[in-house]
Amino acid sequence: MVKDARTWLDEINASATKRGRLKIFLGYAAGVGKTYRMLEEGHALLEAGVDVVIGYIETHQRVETQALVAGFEVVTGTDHQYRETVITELSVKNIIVRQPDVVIIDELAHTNSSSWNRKRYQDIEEILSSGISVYTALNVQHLESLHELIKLITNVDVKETVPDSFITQADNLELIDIEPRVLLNRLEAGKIYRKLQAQLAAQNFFKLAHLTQLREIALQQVTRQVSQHNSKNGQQTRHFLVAISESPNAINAIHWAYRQAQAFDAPWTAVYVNTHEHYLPTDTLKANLKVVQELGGEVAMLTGASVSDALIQYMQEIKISNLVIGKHTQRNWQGIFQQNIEGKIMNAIPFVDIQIIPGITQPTTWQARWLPIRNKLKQIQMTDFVVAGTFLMLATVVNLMLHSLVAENSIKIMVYFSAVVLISRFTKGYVAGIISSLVSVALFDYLFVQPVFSLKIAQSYYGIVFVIMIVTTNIISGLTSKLTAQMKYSVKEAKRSAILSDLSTTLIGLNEPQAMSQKLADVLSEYFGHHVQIYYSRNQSVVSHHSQTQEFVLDANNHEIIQWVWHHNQAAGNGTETLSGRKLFYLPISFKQRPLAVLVVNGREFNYRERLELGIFLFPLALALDNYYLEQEKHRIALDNANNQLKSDLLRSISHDLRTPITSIIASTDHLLTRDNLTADDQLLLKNINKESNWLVQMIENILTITKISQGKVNLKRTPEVLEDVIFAAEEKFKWINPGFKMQFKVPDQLIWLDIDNNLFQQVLINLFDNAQKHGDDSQVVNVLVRPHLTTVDIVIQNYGAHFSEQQMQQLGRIQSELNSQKLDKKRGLGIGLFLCQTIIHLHHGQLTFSNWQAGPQVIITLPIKEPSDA
Amino acid sequence: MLKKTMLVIEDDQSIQDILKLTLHTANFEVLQAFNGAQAQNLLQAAKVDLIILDLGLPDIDGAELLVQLRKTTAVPVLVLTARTEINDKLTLFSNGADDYITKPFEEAELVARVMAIMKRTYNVTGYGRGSYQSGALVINLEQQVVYKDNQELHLTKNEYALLSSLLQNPQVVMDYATLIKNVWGAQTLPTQNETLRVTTANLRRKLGTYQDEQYIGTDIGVGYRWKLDTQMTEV
Repeated sequence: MVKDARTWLDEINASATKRGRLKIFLGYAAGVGKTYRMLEEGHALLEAGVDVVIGYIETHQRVETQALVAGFEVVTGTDHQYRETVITELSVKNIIVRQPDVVIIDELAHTNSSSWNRKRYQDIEEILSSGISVYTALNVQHLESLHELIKLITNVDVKETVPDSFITQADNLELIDIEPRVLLNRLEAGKIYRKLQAQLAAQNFFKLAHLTQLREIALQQVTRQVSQHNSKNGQQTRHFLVAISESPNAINAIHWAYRQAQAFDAPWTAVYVNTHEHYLPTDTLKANLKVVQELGGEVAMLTGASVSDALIQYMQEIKISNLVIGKHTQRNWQGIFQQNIEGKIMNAIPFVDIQIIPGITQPTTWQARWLPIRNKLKQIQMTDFVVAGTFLMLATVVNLMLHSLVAENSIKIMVYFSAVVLISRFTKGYVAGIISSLVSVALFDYLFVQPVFSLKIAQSYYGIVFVIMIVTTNIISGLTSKLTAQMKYSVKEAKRSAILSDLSTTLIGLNEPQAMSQKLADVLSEYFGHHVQIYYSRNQSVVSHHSQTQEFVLDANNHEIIQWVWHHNQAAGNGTETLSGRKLFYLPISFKQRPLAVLVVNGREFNYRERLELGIFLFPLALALDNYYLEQEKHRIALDNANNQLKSDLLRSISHDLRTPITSIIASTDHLLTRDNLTADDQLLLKNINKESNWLVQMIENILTITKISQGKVNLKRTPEVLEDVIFAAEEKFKWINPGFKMQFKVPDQLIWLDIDNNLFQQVLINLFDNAQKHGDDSQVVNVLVRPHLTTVDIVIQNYGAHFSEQQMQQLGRIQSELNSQKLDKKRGLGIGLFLCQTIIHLHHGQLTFSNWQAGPQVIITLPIKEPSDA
Repeated sequence: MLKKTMLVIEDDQSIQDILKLTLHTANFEVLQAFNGAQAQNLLQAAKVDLIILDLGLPDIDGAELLVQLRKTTAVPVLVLTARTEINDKLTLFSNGADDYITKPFEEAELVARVMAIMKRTYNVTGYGRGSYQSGALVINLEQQVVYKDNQELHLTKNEYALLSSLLQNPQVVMDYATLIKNVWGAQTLPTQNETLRVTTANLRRKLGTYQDEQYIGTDIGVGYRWKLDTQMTEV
């Protein structure tokens, strides 16, 4: 704990800029011990010598908590009359006047009864910006974004909310976590915390289930913030992949992946592997995919003979960190033949985290069993029956002719076999084959087996023959239909692969969006037989493939629809839920959620499989366009950098070259000025040359330093220095150039150490002295004051000139941006000099502020104080 | 008295010209070298009392030339540098420079520095035992007491050592290492640099100002300098 406090203290010191640091103690319900923990850490800080005060505390009359309040100074609040009672509110003013290092303020979500700010977090914001660090506490249900969710869980509308942005800007977020059971026990045991209990009751937080859920939400909130901090710090991001099936259990896996991805602030994708050729997605799968899209996940549809191979290939292409698989806990007899997917994947990609989500196997109903068979039967078409009938008729005719020649029945069996094989070959699926095999056996029995023209059999061995016949024809039929299907499948796959690979290579070769889009438009028209247009930029640029057969009728408001699709990154038009009455179908082509083009299709509606295929075709274009724009951007940046580099180099070399002649001018005028026979006019002119030359030197030094800083070549060469040494050195140097300069400086009693780059800091002081003298009164007196604080020191430079106007102060605050937009102050040198000062001070983690004192304007440099190593 | 001879090593003609003029006015002889090789030749041929060395030379880096010169001669060297060119002025001192002056320089400053080095190098016998006066201060080396406006100043041992070290080398920069050696002797600690700063700060507070000026000047990052001239007084 002391360590915690120390780290905190170090951090305060390290960032000794004006703004205070914010630490939030987050709990999931009242009573978890946030206030207690906050006070505990406050004590640790006190022990470490930090000035900690209490701004507002709510002890709920808890003895332990009240005991902890002792030892802290409590800043007096302001009283407000509220109806009958007097309410004491936090006093922002008193705290700012008191200027502690850290102030403890309980109940962040509080709404003020009557104060300047309506909400307490606004008060805290004000305190933070005055440089005071704040410890505060919050329950998770007060977070704005969680408001709805918690309302859903607890049925209580929490009125006092705090915007999420306030929480995200916290420098530290500490979760105060105890077991919900422990919390409930605590409440039951201690009857003293009446107010708390009432609060809990009102919030319907009695229930263990609610507490558990709230706790989970609080945990997630903290994890998310930590991971956001981390990803800001350039840590590797995660990508979750959830493999789903038609099973309703997949929804568990989907939810799990979603929550994980949320917690890590990572993207996530659901993938389905299709292993059949004529695949019709089941309603369950469609529902699952819809859930994925609603939860903001990407959907990927893969096709492949093996689920694991397809997954492995996909995961190797796209960097996936975590894989989530839903799995049945019960294994049925099919499990013997099923491959162990996770094992295979782990072997192939060792660095992927695999999470297996168990699912519950639902008892199989007869409807469920019947369903696939019904689907199969639905697939049979009339042509199949015609084919089957024809072949069976032919076989019967052949056998009848054979019957007159040979009595041997085994040959006739072979003829029927052949017929069944042929039927299987020329029909879809295996249903026609199976039916044919049964019919052929019946025909054989009826026509050729004694007694003829009856289905009875005289010799019992024919019974065995029939069984063998049925089994064999079935096997043959099954094998043949599968082989046929695979052949067709691979032919089509091969064709598509060929088109895709051609598309990809061609697109890479074309480095121009129009040509790329044209290529894809051609390919799509040819493959789907639809007429397509592709809009590859928002400004109506279009390429299209005009087929002879179809006329492309542009929708009214075509342009607006395209803009809409582009802006929402969502499909519209025919067959979608937006503008479904339109003839045309609009689909955004996007990569990483960024729309890059819009596809417009004129033709019949795409079926589900075609849509998936379309996605596969669009991907290469999305990739190519993304790549193109990325290259363009890189090129532009490189060009900019080269230009900047050139500018800086030029400035540097000019500055170096100027220095030698100026040295000679200054020395020459100096020498001339020592002569006795000069007229007053001569003297004046020479002095002016001398003065202006010295100004040029200062300017050159500034430019040189700025070019160095802007090229990132400046590494601060920090050394510990005594503040007064630094000021005296700058004064002396400046006096050589401006002998009239008078500095009023009282050596401070305290010896103040700074950790600074001498050369750069001297430049700051000289520039500020120069400005102070130039814009001061004739006395040329400049006051330099040193005001040490606990961790920082203010160096105040004042002169007796005209006060800064409001407008001037605003302008000075904007110097940095003004310089960037090249709107330099016309008063030469002022802009660049002050810009340099600001840059250097910022490099030293300090601040430069402009204000007024009684007799004129002042500039304040605020710098962190260094502790000397032997102190 | 014989005129002292300066060797100016500088490649820029107009700076050479103005230095020659300035030094002539201050009653010195001037030899001019425009590169390192010429300088080496002149040093062998003529007797030189002080070298003014510019760091940016066409044939050799001035800092490198300084190292070479120190192998063969003990003649004091005043280095001319541009303010931003040189980041580590301390190495100049460890390489044997006696003082440095930044470009652009004022004529008066240059002459003052040259005179101070000459005084330190060639009038060594002038210092030693006795009393010295500088501004409102009088220091008696024999009794080891310091008076300000005839009031005795109570200094610590280290403060006294620092004061006498600075006072005996007026108007010349004394780099940190030399001062530490003079005050604390050989036993230097890593934090000695900070101790020196503290001692100087304390000494500065005790000395106060003379005609609104500090006695001790700061060459930030390099060392300290006694700003006023010092005279020996008859005891």
